[in-house]
Amino acid sequence: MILLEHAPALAIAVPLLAALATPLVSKAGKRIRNLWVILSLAFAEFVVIMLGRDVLAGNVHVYSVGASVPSLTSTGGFPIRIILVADAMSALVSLAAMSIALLAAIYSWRFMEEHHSLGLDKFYTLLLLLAAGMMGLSLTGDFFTLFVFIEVVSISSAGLIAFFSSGESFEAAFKYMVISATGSLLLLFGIGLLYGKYGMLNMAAIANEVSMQHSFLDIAALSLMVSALLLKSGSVPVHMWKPDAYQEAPAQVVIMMLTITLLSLYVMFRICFSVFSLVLPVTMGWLIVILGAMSVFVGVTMAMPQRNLKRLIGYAAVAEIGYVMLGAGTGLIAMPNVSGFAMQALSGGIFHMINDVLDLSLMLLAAGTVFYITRQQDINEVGGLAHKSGYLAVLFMISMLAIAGMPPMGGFASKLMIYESVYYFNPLLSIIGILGSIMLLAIFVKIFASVFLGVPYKGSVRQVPKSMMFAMCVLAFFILFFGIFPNLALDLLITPAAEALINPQAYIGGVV
Amino acid sequence: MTGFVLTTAAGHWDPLLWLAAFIIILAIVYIIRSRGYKKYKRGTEQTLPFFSGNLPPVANIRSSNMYWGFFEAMGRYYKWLRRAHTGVVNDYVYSFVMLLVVILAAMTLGGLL
Repeated sequence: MILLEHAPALAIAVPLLAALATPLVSKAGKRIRNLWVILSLAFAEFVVIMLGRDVLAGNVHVYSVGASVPSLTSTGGFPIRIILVADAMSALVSLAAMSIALLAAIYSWRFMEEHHSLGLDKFYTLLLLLAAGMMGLSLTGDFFTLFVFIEVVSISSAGLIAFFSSGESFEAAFKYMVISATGSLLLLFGIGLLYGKYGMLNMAAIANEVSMQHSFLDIAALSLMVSALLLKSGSVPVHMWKPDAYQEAPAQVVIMMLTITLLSLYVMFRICFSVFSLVLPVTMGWLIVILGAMSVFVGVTMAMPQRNLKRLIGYAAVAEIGYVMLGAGTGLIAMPNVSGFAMQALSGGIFHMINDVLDLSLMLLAAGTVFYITRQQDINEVGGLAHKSGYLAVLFMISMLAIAGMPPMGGFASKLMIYESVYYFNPLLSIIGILGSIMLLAIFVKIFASVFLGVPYKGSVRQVPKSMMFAMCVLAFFILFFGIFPNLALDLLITPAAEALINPQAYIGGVV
Repeated sequence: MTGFVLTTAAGHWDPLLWLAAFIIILAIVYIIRSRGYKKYKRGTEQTLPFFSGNLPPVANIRSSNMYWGFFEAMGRYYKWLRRAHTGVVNDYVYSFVMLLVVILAAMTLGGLL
C-alpha cells in the first residue's frame, strides 16, 4: 500500500537513482550492470502498472513531493510544492513510456556489446536519465517541473544521439541541442508569463484562475508553449531535426526519442484540454488539425526518396504524429462539448499515439537489427535477407502493415476511428489521411522488397541475438493484440484517458 | 466477445470476421496451388523468372530505382521540398520562428473573434 501511495514519486526516483548509481555498479562487471539497469526499469514498470490500475478505476492520484501527507496538495488552497498528478491519461502515457524504456534496455544488452570501448556505463546512465525524464514529463503537475524534465530529456537525448562519436552523430546532436534549447527557452518564456500574471506554477491552480480571468497574456503564453511543444514533437514545419537525429542515434535510443515526441504531444494536449480548455479559441484546434494534415503529407513524400532506413523512418514518424494531431485536434475544435464523432476523433488520436509508439518502435528495432546483422545502413546495399533471417522479415512486415494501417494490426483500428470522425468535420482531411496511409504502404513495400526479397545478400549475415528478438516480439504481440481486441484496449485504456483529458474540472478538483 | 468488435460512431469493425475471411482465402490459395504443375523441380531452370527470353538480372532492383515515374512526375514538388530541407540548423530555427508567428497571429485573431 505504501508503494502505491508513493508510486508517482517512485516512477521518477527509481530510474533517476539507478542512473546515478550505474557508473558505480559498472565496476562490478558488464553483466551485473546490464541486470541492474533492466531490473531498475522493471521495478519502475511495476510501480507504473500499479499506479495505472489505481487511476484507471477513475481516481486522480495526486502526490505532493516532500509533504508529510503526500496527498495534501494545497494547504490553505494554494499549492506551493512540486505536485505530481496521475490520472488515466498520464498513467497511460507513463506506462507506454516506461515499457519502451524497458524494451530499449533489453534490446541494448547485445546490440551495444560491441561498442563497450565507447563507455557503456555512460550509455546506460543516460538511458536511465531519459527514462526518469519521460516519467517526469508524464506525471508532472506544475509548469516549472515540466521545464526541468524537458531539459533532462533534451540533454540526455543529445548525449545519446552523439554516442557513436562520429562526425555525423556530433552534428545531429548539435542540431538537436540548438533546436531543443530554442524550444525550451520559449517554453520557459511562456511559463514566465503565466507566473508573472498568477504568481503560481501549478497547472490545476492556473487552470482554475484562467477560467475566471483570462487576457491576451494567457493567449501569448499558450502560443509560446504550444509552438515549443510542436517543435519537440517534430510536427511540420519544425520537423527537420527528427530525421537527422534518428539517422545517427542507436535504434533503441531512437525508440525512446520517438516516445518523447509523443509525450510532448501529450503535454501539449494536457495544457490545451486541462489548463486552457475553457478559454481556448477554436483556431487552436484547427491549427493543430492543419499542421497534422501537413505533417502527414510532407512526412510521407519526404520518406519516399530516402535511402537510409532510419532516416526514412524518421520522416514516417513525422507523418504518423500527423494522424495523432488530426484526431486530437478535432477533439479540441469541439471543446468543451466533446461527444459523438469528436470524442471518437480524440479517442482515435490517443489510441494512435500508443499504436504509433508500438509500430514505429518495432520498425526501428527491426531496422537496427538489419544494421546489426549486415553492418549496412544503406538499403540499396542489402537484399534477400528473408532467406537468412525469416523471423526478422515477419516482424518487419508486421510493423510495416501496422504503420500503413492495415488490418488486423492496431494501427488500422485507430486510423479507422480518425478517418471516420475527421471526415465528419472535413472530408479533405480524411482524404489526406488515407492517401498518406497508401503512400506509407508503398514506401514500406519498397523497403521490404529491397531489403528482404530478391537475390540473397552476398556479405556475411550474423544471427539475431535472443534479447533483440525478444524486445521485437513483445512489440509485435501488442500490435496484434490491439488489432484483434481493439474494443478491449478502448474500454480499459483509451476511453478513460480521453475522458480524463476532456474533463478539466476533475483534474482541477483533484489538485486544488 | 465484446473485446473483438470496435464500435465507431458510424459503424463497426470486427477483426474476427476479417481473420476468418483471411484464413478462408489462404485455404483457397493453398488448394489452387496444390492443384498446380506436378513436375516442378526446385533449383532448375524452371524456377528462374521469365524475362522475355533474356537472361534474368542477377542483382536486385535497387530501392532508389523504384517509383522512378512517381519522382519524375512530382519533380517540381520534390525540387521545392528538397530546397526547404537544407540541413542547416539556422533554417530549422527560422521555421520555428515562422511557426510561432503564425500560431500567435491565429490565436490572437481567434481570441478576438
